[in-house]
Amino acid sequence: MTNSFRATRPQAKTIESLALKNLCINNLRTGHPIFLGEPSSIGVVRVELFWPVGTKQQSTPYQASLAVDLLLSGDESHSEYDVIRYLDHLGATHSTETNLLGSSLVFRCAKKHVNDVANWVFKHVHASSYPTTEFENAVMIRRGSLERQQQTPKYWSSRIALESLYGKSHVLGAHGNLSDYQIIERGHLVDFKKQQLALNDIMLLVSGDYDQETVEHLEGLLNEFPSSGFKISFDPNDSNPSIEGPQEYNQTPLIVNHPMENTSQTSLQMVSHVVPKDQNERHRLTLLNLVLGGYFGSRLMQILREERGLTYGIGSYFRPAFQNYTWTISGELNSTHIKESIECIDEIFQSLKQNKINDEELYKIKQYYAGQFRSGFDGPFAMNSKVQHLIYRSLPNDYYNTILPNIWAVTAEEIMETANNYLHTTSFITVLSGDTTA
Amino acid sequence: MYSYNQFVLNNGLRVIHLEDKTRTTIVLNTLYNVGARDESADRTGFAHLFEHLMFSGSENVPVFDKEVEEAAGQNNAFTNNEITNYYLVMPNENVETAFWLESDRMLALNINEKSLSVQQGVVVEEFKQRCFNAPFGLLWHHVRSLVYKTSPYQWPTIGLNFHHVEEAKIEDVRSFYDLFYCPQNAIISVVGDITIEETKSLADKWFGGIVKSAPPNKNIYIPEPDQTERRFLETEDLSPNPAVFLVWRGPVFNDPKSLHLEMFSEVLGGSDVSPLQMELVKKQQLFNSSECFYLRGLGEGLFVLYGILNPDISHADGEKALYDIIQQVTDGGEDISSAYEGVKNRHVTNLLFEATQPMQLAQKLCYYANAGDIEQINHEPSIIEGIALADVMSTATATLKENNVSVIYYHPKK
Repeated sequence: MTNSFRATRPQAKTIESLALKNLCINNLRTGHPIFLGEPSSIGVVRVELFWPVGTKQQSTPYQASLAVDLLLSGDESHSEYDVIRYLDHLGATHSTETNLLGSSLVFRCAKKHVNDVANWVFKHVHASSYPTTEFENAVMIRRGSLERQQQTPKYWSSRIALESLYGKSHVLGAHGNLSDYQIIERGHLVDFKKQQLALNDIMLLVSGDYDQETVEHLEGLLNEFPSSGFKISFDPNDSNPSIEGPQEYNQTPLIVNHPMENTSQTSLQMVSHVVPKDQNERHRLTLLNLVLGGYFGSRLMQILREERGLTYGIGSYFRPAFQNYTWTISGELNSTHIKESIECIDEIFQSLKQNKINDEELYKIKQYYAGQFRSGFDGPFAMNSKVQHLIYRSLPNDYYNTILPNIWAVTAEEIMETANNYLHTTSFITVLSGDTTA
Repeated sequence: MYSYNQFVLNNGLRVIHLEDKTRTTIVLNTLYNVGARDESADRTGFAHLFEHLMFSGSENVPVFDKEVEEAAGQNNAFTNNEITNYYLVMPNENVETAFWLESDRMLALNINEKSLSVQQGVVVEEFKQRCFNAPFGLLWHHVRSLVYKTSPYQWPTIGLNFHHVEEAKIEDVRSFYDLFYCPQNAIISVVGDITIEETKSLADKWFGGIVKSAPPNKNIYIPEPDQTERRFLETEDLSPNPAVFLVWRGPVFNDPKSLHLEMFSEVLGGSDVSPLQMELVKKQQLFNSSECFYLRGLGEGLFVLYGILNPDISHADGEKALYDIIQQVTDGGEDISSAYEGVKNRHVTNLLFEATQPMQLAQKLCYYANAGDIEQINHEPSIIEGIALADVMSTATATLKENNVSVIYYHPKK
């Protein structure tokens, strides 16, 4: 059998658009906003309690994340053991998350148990009083975890980069220290919960194998906690945080060294604060970032890893910074060639500023983006984070259907222009941590 | 119940198909029956290095990743001691590109000095990142060298040291490829919105013409004698706190008792209020972190239990406390019975959730087929439901003894 047909690649189709069904947020009779995903007969239900508060609202390090993490840690009449044990018994799992602007408590369980699990979770979230023992244990465990993180060069390169860019006191640059775990008190958590984490303040996101009865049951649980109005607390001034970093910033490339003993690589972090003018510029930045370091085929990965073998992984991405971004380049690099690697990054910057990317690369990044973007909506649980993204950025409900046409409309000239606006080595603070002897 | 189909091509390639009409992407997963246990003792880390080389292009695909990306797909791979697994995720409309790419590197990989040299550098950096720059990064080196004395499980997938990776020769690459990367030593699964007819047609078109003469891997290895004594290692690592690790060998994947130990690990430490957490971390405050798990492999089973010590707690006290908590759990009681019911419920819920994860499913289908019983994927919930607590405790008692344990005491590196 001949294999000559293999020389012709199968025709791949372009992923041009996404046609999402209605994406709408409704209100329960109690006034709480609720997002209901497309029901799916999978036997599992996921319910998310979403508060519009995060680390931005905290008055002391770790206050928000500890207050959210310990929402099921017990109360006057139940210990953490009692609370979690019942959830365990029903086969339910739960998790929490806290970011700059929002916090969530998610539970997932078999459909047959959803009402019992919801009763229990809502009751104990409301009653949670952060018993002293549970609070002290959580602090001990987290302190140990932070100590281990601090052994790694990556922790320090990331931390120092953000501190240098935004300043240690700014919410985008602040990091907790080990000593902060000695300062924080149980009362800080009680205060935070009282002010920020009431059931009156939540939005619900429900997905998986739920039905109308499930929704009505959740509504019933909120009857005594009428909504106080769900709103992300966003101050327009947050868009442009003052830069408290060193004065050299924006004049000459700033490189900060953080040597560490017993390390064999150099952890690199480069950060820059980016303020896109409008949605179209966000699309251009998205594509520029892909070319730079946003996927395996990016310049950083192809040149530093696939051509020179100087790293296992290097990439770039946008970290949310309120309505803007912290553009971050991050990688663990061969320490004896660190100078070569930094020069190479600069050459990539220059190349993107001086030369239009060719049609082949332009098509590849758009097609790659389109594929990842569309598949990101697959599955019964995918929409929850997409809805939260709309809320965080105050975007319209049809936003996702508009993205791909706009992405495909971006030109190579626009990407080069965007590179010239943003991609300056003097706009980035570079931190090298670990083995920095070279 | 998963209504999968399976068939075998004339060249011996096994194909599994599972239709899921709800997806916009299709997963093509390929499992090769080769892993680190197939390496020689002086060329460890080679199976993993070879995995990297599989992305270096093939006869008709000069740049593998470029083709994936232009078809709007994504891909990756992993290697362990027993298998090497590759996956491609493609938009439904471009699924044929996945068949083209995966089959072409099975047919005729582009093996050359340049890509070998570059990937040796990449893997050395991966070795440093994973093993030297992370707390307890050399754990699996220590565990495997302590637990295994004769079998090829004595080295980790990443390799005993990175010099082995640096010393690999192009002839090694060629012979490894010829020996293991053939259709009769592989299983593919296709999961997504694709019919069985289309799957058969594409599999036959792209994989059917690949004919290679090497026999399937027989998976015969130097056996490891039973461990009948306590083994001990004291070492330093990048860690702020001392730690104690206990490791036992146990039943392998196809032995039903391996599930007993998996369930036992869940009862012992699988929750925030499990005995391990409640007693040793929260009440006695001996550890600031403590976990356990059962590594359930085709040719090995390892029960790992560890605690990271709080200041002023000795290694010996930590070790004793870990034995005591095992004893406490195996002794049973009302709380343990109740916790066990929860563990079973959680297992079943997790299996339901897994049905929404096509990549996990595709990998699991290949893995179970390679293990010899793909139907386990449908029997799993009832098997778990049917495991009695007494059997779990009996297996744990018989396995987790102080006279067959391997113990590692970690000290912070100065």
